[in-house]
Amino acid sequence: MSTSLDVTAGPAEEIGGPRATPEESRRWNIIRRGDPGPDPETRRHKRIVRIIQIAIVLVALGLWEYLGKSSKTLNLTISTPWDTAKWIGQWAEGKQAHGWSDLVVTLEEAAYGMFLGVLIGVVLAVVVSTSKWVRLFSAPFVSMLNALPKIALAPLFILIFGESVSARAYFVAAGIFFITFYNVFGGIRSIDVIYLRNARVLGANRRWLVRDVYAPSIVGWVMTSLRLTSAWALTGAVIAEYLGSVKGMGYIVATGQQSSSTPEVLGGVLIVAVVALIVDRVIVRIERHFSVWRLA
Amino acid sequence: MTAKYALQRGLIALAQVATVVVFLVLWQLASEHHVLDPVFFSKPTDMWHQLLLWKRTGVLWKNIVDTMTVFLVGYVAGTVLGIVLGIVIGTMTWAREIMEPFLAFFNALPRLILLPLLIVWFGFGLEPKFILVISVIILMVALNVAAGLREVKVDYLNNARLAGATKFDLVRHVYIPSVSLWVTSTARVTVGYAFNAAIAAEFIGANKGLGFLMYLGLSNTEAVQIWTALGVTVILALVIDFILAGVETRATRWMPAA
Repeated sequence: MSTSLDVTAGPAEEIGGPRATPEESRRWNIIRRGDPGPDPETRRHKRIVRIIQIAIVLVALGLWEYLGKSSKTLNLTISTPWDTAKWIGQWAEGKQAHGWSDLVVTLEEAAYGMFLGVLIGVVLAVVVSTSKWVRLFSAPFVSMLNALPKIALAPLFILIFGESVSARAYFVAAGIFFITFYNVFGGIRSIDVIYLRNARVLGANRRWLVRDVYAPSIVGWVMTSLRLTSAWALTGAVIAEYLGSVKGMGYIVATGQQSSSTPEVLGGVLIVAVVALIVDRVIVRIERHFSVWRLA
Repeated sequence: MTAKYALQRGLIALAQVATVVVFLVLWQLASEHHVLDPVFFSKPTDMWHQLLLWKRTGVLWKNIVDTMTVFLVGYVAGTVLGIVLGIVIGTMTWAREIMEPFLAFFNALPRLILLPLLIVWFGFGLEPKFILVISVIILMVALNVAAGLREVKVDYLNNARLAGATKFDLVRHVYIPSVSLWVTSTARVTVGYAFNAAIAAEFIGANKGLGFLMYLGLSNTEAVQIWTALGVTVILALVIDFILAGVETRATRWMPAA
């Protein structure tokens, strides 16, 4: 995989010609991206590391499969990788739980909650930080809300809004609101006064300041909190589903646990884990893209 | 200037207290006149009575102790294990290289959802709860310690060596002070996560703790229990945060004021 993605390939290879020598590809890399890329020594080292990692995974899976089959009780508690994979396959075909629509419901709650939470968080942070008086006044309330374990709101939201998709989305939004608010609030306060003064010296009025100093900084802070909030969005949605729902990944885990079907619990958790990982990678990419112009 | 400042502070404090009082009174009135449905929103006086009832029957204290046990054991164990893991990652290059993808996977994983799995594996006792709290914070501590170790200034090490420091002296006078800064600055963050995880751990398959009280309130549709447990939780969280802020100031007092 790494060889096909590596940009160490020279132009000769691209048109199907003979493979570029290491020296050629290094030179080509300097032209293309400004650095020579890994030398053969590092590449060999990387390959060895990768082989060890794959070996660890294989050994772990093998041991798990062996242990899971060795006794009845162990099979009930840890199941086997093969059974779990089979369950995931059946789920994907729609034969277990509700199939893909479980995942769609969970993602809906997470996305809706995230949108709402970030929006309210940013707006309130801006409102609070505009005036010194409001800031001083709200300080103890802010730190109190920040100390509150967000997960503790789940039962309350389910009670008030019922076991519905919107209830879970509101719960997700509440947690995200706190994270975003705190980050953006701190971010606005940490804007270097020098930027503001420089902009004013250059004749910036309030609107310019907002557009050229505040807005980029706020976007930056929202971006920074995005990794945290997206992880929370998924966790929040799943936990709320677990506490009371008839659909979704949390529901799968809950029914799996009630019927002591370990492959179901494991499968549900694994699917969420993979989705979380993908979302996280995507956000890291976006972050990198935006960090170029971000105000530190 | 100082008099004016004191006056300002006094006014703000007054406004804050007034806001809380007005808020509570409005809540009470709205609930009594069914502007807010008391079934869902309860009311402050009911919460107070609930608190007194819990206190009298010993429910309050027992559940606080349980939540705090899960939190403290998980937090301390998670921090210690995190420091150990951080030292391994921070000082052994090969270990870091091999563990990197696994750590990245684990770091991106929403760890609270592991609880049902941990319960299936470890039963309904305290073990899965401890492990959950540990799993939530261990990597944050470890990554910070590793970063702290890598950031130790080479100048300091060289200077200390020139002054005749042994390996032990280096650890005692260079590594520990600089890593302690990273540990304490993480400690304040991880404490929130650990407490969050402790509460979440009691939602599922528990029969004790503040999280369990809320869960019980939900299944009995007793809003007052949820609200009261929530209030206790917030106060507890504030107390913990307050204590930690004190520890942090003490641990970092060798540093020049920022």
